[in-house]
Amino acid sequence: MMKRLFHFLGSVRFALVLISLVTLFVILGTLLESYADSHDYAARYTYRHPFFLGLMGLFFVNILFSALRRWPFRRQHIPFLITHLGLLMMLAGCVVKSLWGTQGTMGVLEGTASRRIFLNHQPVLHLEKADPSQPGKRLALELPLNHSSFFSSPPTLDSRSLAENPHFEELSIRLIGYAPHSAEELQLWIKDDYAYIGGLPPFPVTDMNLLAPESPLPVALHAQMQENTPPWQLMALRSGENPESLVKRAYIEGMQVRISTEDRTVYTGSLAKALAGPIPLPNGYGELTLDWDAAELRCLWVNQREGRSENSLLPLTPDLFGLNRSLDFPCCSSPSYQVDLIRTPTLLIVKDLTGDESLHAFDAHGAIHSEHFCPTQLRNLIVYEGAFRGYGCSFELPFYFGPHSRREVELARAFSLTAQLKEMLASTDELVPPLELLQAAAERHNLDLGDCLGGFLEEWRKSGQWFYPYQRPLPKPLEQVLADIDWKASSGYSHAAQWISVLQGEILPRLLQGEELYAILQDMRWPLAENLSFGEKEDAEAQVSALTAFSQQILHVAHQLPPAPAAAAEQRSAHYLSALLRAYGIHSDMLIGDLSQPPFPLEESSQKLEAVSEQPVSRGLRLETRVTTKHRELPALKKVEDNLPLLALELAQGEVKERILLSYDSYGGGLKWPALNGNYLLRFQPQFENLPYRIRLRDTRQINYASSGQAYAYESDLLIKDYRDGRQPNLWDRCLQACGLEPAPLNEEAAVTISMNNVYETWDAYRFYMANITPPQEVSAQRAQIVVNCDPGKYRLTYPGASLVALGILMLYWVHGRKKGGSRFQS
Amino acid sequence: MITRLFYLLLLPFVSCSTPSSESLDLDLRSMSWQEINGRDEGLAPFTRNPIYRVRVPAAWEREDPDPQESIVDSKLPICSFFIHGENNEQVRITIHNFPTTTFNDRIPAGAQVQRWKRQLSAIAPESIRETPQAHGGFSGLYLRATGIMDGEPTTMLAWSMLMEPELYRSLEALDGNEEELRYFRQMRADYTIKATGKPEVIELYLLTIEAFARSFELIQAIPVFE
Repeated sequence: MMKRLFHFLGSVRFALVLISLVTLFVILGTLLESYADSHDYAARYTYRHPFFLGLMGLFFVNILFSALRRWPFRRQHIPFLITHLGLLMMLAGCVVKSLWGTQGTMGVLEGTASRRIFLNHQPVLHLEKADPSQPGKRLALELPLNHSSFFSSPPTLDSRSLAENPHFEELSIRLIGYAPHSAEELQLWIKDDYAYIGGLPPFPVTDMNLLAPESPLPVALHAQMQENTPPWQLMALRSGENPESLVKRAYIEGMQVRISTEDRTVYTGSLAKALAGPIPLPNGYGELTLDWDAAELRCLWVNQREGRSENSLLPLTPDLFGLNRSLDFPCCSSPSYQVDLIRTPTLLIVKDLTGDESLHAFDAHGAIHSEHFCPTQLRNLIVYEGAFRGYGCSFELPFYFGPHSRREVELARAFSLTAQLKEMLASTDELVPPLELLQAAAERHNLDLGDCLGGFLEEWRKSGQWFYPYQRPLPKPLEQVLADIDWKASSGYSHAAQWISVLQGEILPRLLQGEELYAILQDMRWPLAENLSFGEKEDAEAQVSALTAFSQQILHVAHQLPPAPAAAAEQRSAHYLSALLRAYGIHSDMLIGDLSQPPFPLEESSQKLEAVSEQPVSRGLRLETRVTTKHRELPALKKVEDNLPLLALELAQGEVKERILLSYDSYGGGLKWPALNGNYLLRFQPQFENLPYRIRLRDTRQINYASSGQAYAYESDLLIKDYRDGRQPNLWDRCLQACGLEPAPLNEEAAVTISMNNVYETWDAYRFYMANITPPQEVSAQRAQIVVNCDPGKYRLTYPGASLVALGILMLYWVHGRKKGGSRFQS
Repeated sequence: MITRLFYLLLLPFVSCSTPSSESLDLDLRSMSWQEINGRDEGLAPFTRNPIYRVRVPAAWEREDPDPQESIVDSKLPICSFFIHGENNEQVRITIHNFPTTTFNDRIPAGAQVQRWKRQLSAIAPESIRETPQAHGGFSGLYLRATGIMDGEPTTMLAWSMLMEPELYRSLEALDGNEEELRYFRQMRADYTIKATGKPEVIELYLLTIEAFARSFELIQAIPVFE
């Protein structure tokens, strides 16, 4: 009986049955994989099915017994035995790989290094607690979950290690529920139907899809952000398809606009009305355009009587806010009309259809500050007490709290300018001639040069003219100082200033009409025009530099020029001083920076505003909210690899019990959640394993097809360092040494480039494959996903086995050919 | 018959070759790694630790700052290279880093690029190319532009690279003694690389300069919390 069984198990008939069954399984596996687009789904019913594994065992027995049936072995059995030995070694190689092999994935960010791979088929419950004996350190434990094929049936939690670990023995965990697939949503400012801001009561969220389009936006709450400041109105909205238009609408609604000249208000009305049509103004009209993307209010002022127009801009960002800026000639930075915006300060929270949230703050003068919050890519996550107290996110309100109208900002800017000038003058031994003249006059009136110069530059800026206008009055003490400048004592400079004023007075109107400076100077036959550097006509900065250089040329050649027509003595002093200052490049914009920069250093701003408004002003306020999770159970996917199982756990420590839901974190890089009053942190994640190699990612790149955004290949430059004490030279190293060649250095960092078809393999059969890059474009540091596998039996069993099979087959052909009367190769 | 068999066996081996991407553009093997120091803290003796490394062709001339002079001012380069072409034409490459104490002190890459553009007058709009770049844990912009600088036609290749916020925060959170903290501050500094020269000379060395900039990295891997 035993003999018959032995011969049956080693028979060709049995082998044919096994081959047929395996073929059926393979066909079924292929069909299932194509149906579900999932290897794991197919493997669940075929390759990892116990019946299939049993077939493999029987294959081993069949091959072994078929060889043993030849006993006693003879010489002609050698090819047959070699082939069967090879087959057995290959099967044994498969067993070794499945038992002791490694198959995992690692994600490495450029510039960093890692040894850690995660094994996606081995989920664990990760537990952490603070180490009571070492402050700052943590104790960790991983509880394995026994599951069948990605949670197709309820898993069990192997909590034996809890009781065995003295640090976690007081904790008990019970699995009270599970779902094969789920979605986890991070909730930020809006949680279900309420908005939450730390320190304020929750306020309701309005769904704009349920509201009539014309209905006004509902204010949910009024809150005083700081003492002695007007209250803010708070709104929380759930938007439809276009959240941006909703925010713009919220901004325009309730905003008032005031347009004024230097001495009076010429228009007041709602911004909505002002944007809708021309605004009537003395001698003409104005048009306002809100450039929402650039956060700018653009203004066109048309003077119909004089037939000219002017463009200006009001930046709406908090840093640049407050100062109207002329767009026609940046150095005449003060436009004819000044715009002020006035509204009730508002904080708007919007949640869009994708679940992203955005916060928009509009201050009392219309400055805007917005921030987008994507729950999957939170940039400013706050971790409370190392996550044991949970997480939060924040929103900065970078506004001034306290009086900060345009006039106050202008005054503070002048204050800053004077302070800056005083500092510069204190560290300067020698003054340029126009400052020397002003200093002498200031000393005669017992006034400080810094104060006089600062005051004059600010008045000049407000005039909006290239030179200080003849007819424009100055504050009394300043006017007296300027009138006392001794021009007779420095007639050369007076003469130069007259010519600068005359020549540039001719040029400026033509420049404003769009002529090029070079062409104008050529037309005027200015002999030194070739020595000037002219930028593009549109480059205002280059134009200013060229005009300044032109003023310097006049200054140097003025002594060769005839007398210039002079203005009345009482009017000319401020004008001439400004002409000379132009030649030396001294103007408030040049000293303090142009208006595209913040008006003064931010840390000083509150102090300066307080000085001019005589009321407390502070800058910046941070709002915070807690980050929480919301889980939804979803139908399981056919592609089981994409399922995110959900666990419901009950944790207990003494009398304290808590239930917690955890979704599977497939990369193990997400947040750990606190439980039991912040005593523990938990995460449901894959098992991590440390490689004996450290992989440093230097650079990773996506290579596209020519003229296309389609990826052709992914490549990564790596540094791979062996972390073990020192590897022994392997067979290949010894071969190289025998040939007089130098083998690869042992234990040094290897610089390698891997790509999708260019795998790097270490001496001990660790293979590194490039799998993916996120993000694919180089918009931020990229993360490479590298698949790592290790087949420890490959060089000892699988490859030698395959070689033996090939050798055995060749020998079988050879023997068979000789029996027929010669080798097949010879025929 | 044997010859046919030989060629048949040879076929699979021949069809499996993988071309090296490096060999397509230029021979990077002629470049070797050089280490570059960070900045001192302005206090004598002006200690500067090696922070960066970069692959440099052997023919390039290197100029390091005077060890007796402080380079705490970020306007001063931490290292310069010169490529000497024919007819005494040269390309100057300067490397600056910008150590910051807090995240908000950093200069955005866009601001650096705008500043560089202003350094070139009569800049030809079609010559301006701004490409996002990311390597070695830094990301930013690569500007390529041609215009006039100091009265000469000049092409500028410039990289403004900022450390990835996640990595900056990671380095910021590290604790240590005073010297270690200074080292971490240098490590998390953003950096710029700027190459200027005549357009035809820059064109000649374009790929090498790009490979040089692309290889610029920190000597030490940035530690992250896993």
